[in-house]
Amino acid sequence: MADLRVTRQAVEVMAEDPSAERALRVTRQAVEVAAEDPSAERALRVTRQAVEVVAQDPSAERRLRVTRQTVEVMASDPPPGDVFADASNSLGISQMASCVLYVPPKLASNSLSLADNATTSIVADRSASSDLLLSGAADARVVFSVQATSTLSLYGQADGTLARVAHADLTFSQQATVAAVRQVSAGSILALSDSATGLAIPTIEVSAGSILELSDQAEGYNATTHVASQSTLTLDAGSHGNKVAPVAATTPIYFTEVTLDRVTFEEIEVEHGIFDSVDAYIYADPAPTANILSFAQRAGVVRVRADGISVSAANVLTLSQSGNRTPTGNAISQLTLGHSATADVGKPAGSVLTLGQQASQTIERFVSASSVLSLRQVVNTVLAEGCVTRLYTPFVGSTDDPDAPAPPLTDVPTLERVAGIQLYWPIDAPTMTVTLRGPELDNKDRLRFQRINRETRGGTLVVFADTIWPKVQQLTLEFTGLEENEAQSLLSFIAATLGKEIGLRDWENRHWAGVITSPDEPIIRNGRHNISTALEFEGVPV
Amino acid sequence: MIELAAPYPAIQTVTLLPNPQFGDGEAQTCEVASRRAMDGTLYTYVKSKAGRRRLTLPFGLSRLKALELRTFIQSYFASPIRLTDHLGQVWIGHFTSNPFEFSTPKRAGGWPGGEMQTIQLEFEGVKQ
Repeated sequence: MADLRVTRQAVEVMAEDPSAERALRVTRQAVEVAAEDPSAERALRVTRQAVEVVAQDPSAERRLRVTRQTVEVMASDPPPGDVFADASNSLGISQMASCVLYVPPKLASNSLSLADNATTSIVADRSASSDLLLSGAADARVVFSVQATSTLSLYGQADGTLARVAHADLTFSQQATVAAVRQVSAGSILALSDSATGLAIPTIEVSAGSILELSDQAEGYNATTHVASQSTLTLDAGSHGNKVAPVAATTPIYFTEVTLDRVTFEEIEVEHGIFDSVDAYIYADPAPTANILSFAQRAGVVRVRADGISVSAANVLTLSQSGNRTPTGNAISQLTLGHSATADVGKPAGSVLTLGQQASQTIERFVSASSVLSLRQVVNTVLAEGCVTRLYTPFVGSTDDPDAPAPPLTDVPTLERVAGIQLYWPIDAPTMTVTLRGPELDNKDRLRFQRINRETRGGTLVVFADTIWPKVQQLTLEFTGLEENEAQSLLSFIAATLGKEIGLRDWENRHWAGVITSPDEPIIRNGRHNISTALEFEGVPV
Repeated sequence: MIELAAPYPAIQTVTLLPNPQFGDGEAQTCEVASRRAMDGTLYTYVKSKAGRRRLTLPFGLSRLKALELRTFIQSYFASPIRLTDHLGQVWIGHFTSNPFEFSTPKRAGGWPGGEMQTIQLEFEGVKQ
């Protein structure tokens, strides 16, 4: 049974020259496929597929010429009982339109529809594939717009019970090259429609997938940038150059898919895809970058309850940025931003205010410094000659120190020998007088002073005496050989002048004024006419 | 010859005395206190008194010289005194005698005043 039959495939493309001359005309494109059902071999043969495009070059040179396009498709009908059926189509279309001079807008387009159908009852694996290679080129020296467009619609269907695979591989290659341009664009519009439908149950696997690779490249003399993004769709956009200011490569990607409405069974367009844009800027002299971030926080409470607690608001923001630049080869810019914001509310709010103030003032005033140095001068002369060690020869000099002690008298005291001593009272006008013989030798003349002797911690002796402190002069006299009446007179005198200041004239005729400090001194009768006694007198010379 | 000059250092008065009699003394004023611990260790505590020494000078003077010395003592009994002893040593210190006792042990014919008086001075000072 010759189930496989290809009766006719016809592609008619009608084009008309929009100019008035109507020089370019495509009269007919015909594809004839003849199929023959062999009797014994049961082979299907398509002897010829021809596409004839007749075009007329409007110029005199007639360089534009489309002679013929031939497509041969070989098919073989499998014998009965085989489980493999193969149907393949190979189609090659070559179009060329060239013009040296000015060419009005020309359009070269191909519309091709392929329908392969391979049906069998029992198959282990069936596949339907279509390979289509389109190459469209339009070159011009001086143009305002060069456009190469390929529109391709593929419909592949594979039906089966066990496994069905609908697979379409499509490769587009477009190139637009020009010497001096304002804009060079290369674009691909691709519509893929894959569908896999399971008609029998059970269905092992039904899948529909599309693998699409786009490669766009724009070449210029001065710039090249390579931009890559990771997704199921791979995009390459590049621009390279030596010295450029800003170079940008932007690839907006979106898809418009024409699909079949399952309700109305009408073709509808659905736009979906990736709407991303990638911008890359490369500067010959990059300027330093800086981030200025301002925070304004405010925590205010209008009315605080009595049982309210203080709260606080705090923001913690962490920024992490890194920028790397590779000035050689491909220029890649990578910027990673990490933002973290944490806010905690509900803690006590406190305000700590620290004020530090310092006031310094330097005042310069006239300050006089004076030192009073007291100098004392002393003049003293010592003449160590003669009997200086026996005579009364104090060498007293002069001094202007007011605190200096009173120096000794320089006048030689007058010593006049007189017989005995005399006690009298009162001093001014004596009414009581006692005369005694001269005292014995070993009489004492004592000088007693009130002074303070102290030793410092270091052992230095410090002696101090005030001028008003008492200076006691004491005479101790012993008498012997007194007569009784002399002794009694002495006792009477002592009794009469007890505690009174009396006068004393000594044996050198010096007068003293003082008191007798030994009134209880006894008289001792040593023998006849030999009475001894002692007398202590404390006074001062007058 | 002994020279007494006072007040030190602004010397105004100088008195020359004969050499002291034999029996003069020169002693330390330093002190030592010894304490012995229970284990027999001897501990001593000293006071060096800055090297001060005590001079004991007995003089036999004529009556007039004794009067001169007496007036000198009355004037400078509490003042620092520079004493130059019979060995030529110079001492700076004070009189520490109290009282100053003049005694008349005997008559001295031919001496000024006709008598001989004795006095023993005690002087504490630091040798210069």
